[in-house]
Amino acid sequence: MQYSTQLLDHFHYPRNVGYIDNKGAQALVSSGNAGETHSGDSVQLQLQVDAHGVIIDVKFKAYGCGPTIATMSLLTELISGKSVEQAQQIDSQQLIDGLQLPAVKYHCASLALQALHEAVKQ
Amino acid sequence: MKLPIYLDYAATTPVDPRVAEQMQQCLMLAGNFGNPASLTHCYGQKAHERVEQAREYVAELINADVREIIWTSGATEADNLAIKGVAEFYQHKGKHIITLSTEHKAVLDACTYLQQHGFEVTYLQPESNGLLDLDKLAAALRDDTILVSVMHVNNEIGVIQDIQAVGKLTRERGVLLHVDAAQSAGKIPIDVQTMNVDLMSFAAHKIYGPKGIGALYVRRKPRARLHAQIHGGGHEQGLRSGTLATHQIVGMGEAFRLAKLEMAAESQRLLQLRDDLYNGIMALGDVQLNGDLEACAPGYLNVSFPYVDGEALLLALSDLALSSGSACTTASIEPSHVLKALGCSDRMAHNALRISLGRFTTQENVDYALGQIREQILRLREISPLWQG
Repeated sequence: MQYSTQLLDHFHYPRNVGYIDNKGAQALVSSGNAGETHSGDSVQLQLQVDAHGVIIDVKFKAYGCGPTIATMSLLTELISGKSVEQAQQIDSQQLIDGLQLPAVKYHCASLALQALHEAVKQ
Repeated sequence: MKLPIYLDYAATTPVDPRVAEQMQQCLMLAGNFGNPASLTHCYGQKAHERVEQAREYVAELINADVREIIWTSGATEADNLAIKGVAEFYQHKGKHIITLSTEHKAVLDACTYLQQHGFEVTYLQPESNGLLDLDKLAAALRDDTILVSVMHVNNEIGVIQDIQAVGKLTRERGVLLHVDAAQSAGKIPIDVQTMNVDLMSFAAHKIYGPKGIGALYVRRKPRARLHAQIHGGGHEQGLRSGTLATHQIVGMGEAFRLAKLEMAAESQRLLQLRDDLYNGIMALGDVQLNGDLEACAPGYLNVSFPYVDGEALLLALSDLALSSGSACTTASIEPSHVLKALGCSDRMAHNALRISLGRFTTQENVDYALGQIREQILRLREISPLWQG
């Protein structure tokens, strides 16, 4: 499959990979989508939010295809330094457009947002 | 070094320049363009000679008689002709066929077709290393079994079945044996006499010949009988009609001739390269070998990485032309049926990497590939939440 330059850049050089040492909100999302070709992608997103509700640190881990890794990387870039409220405004179309995700990979964007919402909830 | 490095020789091989040279002589007015069946003039006669010379080269590689080689469009057609042809001819004798669940789709789909037409097929499961347990085969044989079809070398994991042992059993029981040898011909020795094979399928493009040409070996003594699947002119002893493609056939002949000459030295070289690759990859730890290291044709390696997604790995290894299962399965995106049959989970099957080396693979290629694989596995493990390095 041919992917965009932006997607390949995020895949080859992902931003914000790892864990946050400090205690922060944490979300673990596993997807076991039926009809998938394997037993599911798995992504983790950690946020550190200061007293003013601003995301001061964000880290991710991802097991999945290239677009899954790239989408998580882009998401961390988009929400870094934003308020939690602003972060929640991000929709899947922004991720799809940002990476020019092919239609068969739209679910990667949903998975990334699912992780974000789980993290915010905590 | 040309990138990406081609490491998918099990899918297909480039035509050897020496083969292409021979083929070029069979296309234009100044060459051997004639119809090999037009024996009324020298154009046809010369083409006929070249075709028969090629037939000899193919027969010599497998210790067969020239009259036992039937040209087809490839191994898929040869498999179809063998399996459906035997089924139709011998159906009065019985309607039971035995094969392995890890066969190529050309065999499996032909068997499925026969099941829809009143035949019964037993699919034997291999052991976890991909090898067939002969006791299981012996137990599956019945009075109404007319055919056993077992591939020689598996296209995904390179495992070599003990065809001689299978042939001994089928001959004793009076059952015909068909072997898909698309991956083995020219890579490991084949002797249809000592192996007691009755039918054997070949493809030129797996051994540096052109795509679109193959052959079926059909034993004369004791004779294996077939119903033709393609009618129209009675070429190839009535078993496969259609004007012979001189340039393709000449290419296959030359490819098989060269393979016979170079097989011994080439096997040693590929085995060494495969070992370098295997040792380097295993040193990463947490790697699963799919198949069997000993009973493996030279140049094949199939490994799974549990904590790294196979699709992501292929994308990361964009400097290498590799396959994640069989190329055919990739087109239909399901976990490899071969790896599943070995007991791999969907995830491990999805995360498999098939590396296949060949005639134009250099030490430099292998060193570079190994460096890339190691680097990318380590990188993707760092990203993976499943990896607890």
